[in-house]
Amino acid sequence: MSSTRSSTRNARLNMRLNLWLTALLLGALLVVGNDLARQHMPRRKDLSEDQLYALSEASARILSSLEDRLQVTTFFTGRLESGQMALAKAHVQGQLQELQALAGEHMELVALDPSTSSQAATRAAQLGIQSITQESLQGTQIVRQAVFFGLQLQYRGREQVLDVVDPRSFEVQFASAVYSLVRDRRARIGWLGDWERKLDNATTATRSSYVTARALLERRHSLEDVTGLKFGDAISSDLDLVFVVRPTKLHPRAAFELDQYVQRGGRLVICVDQADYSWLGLDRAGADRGDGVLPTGLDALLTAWGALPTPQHVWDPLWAAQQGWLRPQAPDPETGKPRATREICEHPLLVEVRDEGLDPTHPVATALQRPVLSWAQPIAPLDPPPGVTRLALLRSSERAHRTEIGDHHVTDQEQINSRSVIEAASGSGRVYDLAVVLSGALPSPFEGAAPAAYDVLLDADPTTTKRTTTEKVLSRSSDARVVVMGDADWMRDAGNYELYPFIGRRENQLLLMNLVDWLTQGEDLIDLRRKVPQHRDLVDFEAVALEEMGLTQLPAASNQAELDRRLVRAEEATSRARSDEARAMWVPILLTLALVLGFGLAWNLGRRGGKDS
Amino acid sequence: MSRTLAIFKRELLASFESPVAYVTIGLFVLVQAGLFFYMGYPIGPTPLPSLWAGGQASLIVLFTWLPLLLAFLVPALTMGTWSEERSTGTEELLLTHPVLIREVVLGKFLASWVLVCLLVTLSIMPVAWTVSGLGDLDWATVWCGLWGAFLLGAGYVALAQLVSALSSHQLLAFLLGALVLGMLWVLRLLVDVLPVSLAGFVDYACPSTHFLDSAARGVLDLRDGLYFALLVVFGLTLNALVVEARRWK
Repeated sequence: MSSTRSSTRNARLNMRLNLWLTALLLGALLVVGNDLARQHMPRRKDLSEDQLYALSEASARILSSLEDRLQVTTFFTGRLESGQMALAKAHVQGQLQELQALAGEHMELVALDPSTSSQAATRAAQLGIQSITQESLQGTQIVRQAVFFGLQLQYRGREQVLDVVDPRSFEVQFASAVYSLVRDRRARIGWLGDWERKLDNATTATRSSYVTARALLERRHSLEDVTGLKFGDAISSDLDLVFVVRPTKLHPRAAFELDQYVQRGGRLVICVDQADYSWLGLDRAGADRGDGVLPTGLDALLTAWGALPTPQHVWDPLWAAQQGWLRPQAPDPETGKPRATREICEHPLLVEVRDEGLDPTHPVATALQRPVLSWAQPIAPLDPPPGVTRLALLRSSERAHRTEIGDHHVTDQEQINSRSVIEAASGSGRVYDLAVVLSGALPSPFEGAAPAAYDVLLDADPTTTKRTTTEKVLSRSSDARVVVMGDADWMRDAGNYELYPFIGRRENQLLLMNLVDWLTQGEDLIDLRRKVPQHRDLVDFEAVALEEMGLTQLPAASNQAELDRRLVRAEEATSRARSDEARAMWVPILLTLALVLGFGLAWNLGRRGGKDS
Repeated sequence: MSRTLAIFKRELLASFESPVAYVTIGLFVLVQAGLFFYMGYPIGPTPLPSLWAGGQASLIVLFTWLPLLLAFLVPALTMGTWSEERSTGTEELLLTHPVLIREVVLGKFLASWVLVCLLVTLSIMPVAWTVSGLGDLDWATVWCGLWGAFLLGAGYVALAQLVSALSSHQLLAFLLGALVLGMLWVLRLLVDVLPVSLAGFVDYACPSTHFLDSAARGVLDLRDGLYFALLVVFGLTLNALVVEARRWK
């Protein structure tokens, strides 16, 4: 009896032991199997349309152009305190391995840790790779750690350094750097226009500065100021591209030099902004106000080319972007410290150009994500001259209107909305070109009469001249590429009290880089930047309802009664939109629930019937 | 195999006879849709806006909620798998039948998994249908996400069923199952608080990582397939051993 009990107890003990051992073994298998898979089985396939998680074809093309060995040295801190940072590092290392697999024997990876090796730290310092401070929460304490997260790429004696790697856009960073190394030539870019903030007493006083845009350009290209045009100094043909930013009262000779630069094969981007800030009273009180419009001095040239910006602004309620600023208030009575309130509104004078407003055929626009133009001027719908193609790169929505310069003082959201409703009800909304690309053989407006250079003694007015010369003028002489934009604010720095970022906005930076790459023949880089999620906007039920009720594209209201009638119908459209929205959301869900319930009833009744019979 | 299929069929049909399945499906579909349309996903370092606030035709919010909701739903569906048999005494009867325990475990697993897959499909597809009518939905990501949700469901079912086998009462099985799966879900949020040597391991050990970082975004990763396969093998083998051990008591 006791031996039976003992053998049963042993069997139970064995069973329990077996259970625990199996559990341990399975646990170990789970850990080891996953660890091995993590290290040696990087097989994944991105099936999504955006292809954000697969290496792009552009990267493959750039890496396949390597003819010699590319050495990539990582300067990553080995022992990290932040878990998130450790995951980001693992992500970048994984991508580096994938890139190495793509490049084959042409890429070599070397890992250095500046936080443990003084030699590596010295080398990182020489390369300009600085540590960044990373904060992480450990228990209840915030731990700060100086972290190195940089890369050096060396190829044929040349080098590129990424001082801080961005895990979200690492592929673009890396492939762009490889592209620059392989190409071995930095594009030379000229800049014509004021770029520092000035607040002088002249009527050309400007609130604009372009320091960030210039820094972005200088990071990858050589940038130089273009000067002396009105004195007859020609633009160097070595410049691949010239930016003309917020041109103001340019001398005719300067316009001529720009034209001849294009005729010699140079590329040009002209960003026009004719708003006179001093007229707006934003810079100084009591200024001598003109008509609010500052002439560019380029009208003759742009008219001849078929792309003249109109001195008005586009008011686009459908694609309004957010505008934010700090409104200064009276100082704190107790502390005396300055105070400000934060104000934000959706302003139709800031146009966030959606997919429908981007030309899908153009390399600059296809890789672009909603740039925002601020107080943009529409470009007049002129017919391009023979032999010239004009393509609208950026356009407004079909509900846009034109408004006079100076009307943008309205910043109250309710006032803005009511104005938008009134304008929608009054009809006349239409699409406006905000940026155009001109290509082909551009005619010169100076044929037969080149303007003479400015002469202090002969010309009374430094902004114009009536004298001409008989020098040879090139016309229709090259396959030109010129971009004319009805806005210069999109690339300017934010002012003191502005929360809106202008060039700080990533989409605007993309526009700038895409323009440069397209005009300097670096189209592979544009392809790389296509790796951003596509905008997949939801149906705007309100716009649909307005259209269905015939409240868009109307002629202007003839009287107040007509306007009131349209306003009532606009409100009806809004409530109809809300109910359409709810129906679209819930009908499929409720149908599914009805289906489940119906199935359940039928099933159970059927079973019960079967059992009863 | 035929005995496994017979058990699978019996368990699945039994699920449809109970009103619990219909109520659970109905509630799950409504809650998922409500969260997706109106609330978004406010948890963690990168909150996501609701459908209308985000204005984009994407199901990422729906997928992001899934690991947490399934952590409660799966134990609710599987709580009775073994514990009910045990408390009503039918387990002993079942074990005296000429079937292998692994066949019973597998049959029960397949039945619960199919039910979870059905539930996930019913909660995702109507919303996907709605969103595709409202904007340009990336269907490849939807199919991939659905597949990933099936895998996630398989892992969860295997673990919840193991917990059910260890528990003597349904309620206890549900609470323990929800606790275990909830803990696994929470781990992902703790990555930045844990010691860094653990961060990578913990992140990788978390089932939601293998769903949210790949399938939910439209990426098929072999490593995720292997992870869930190992998790299922782990859960089911232990489940069979636990039941086997009881047979010897």
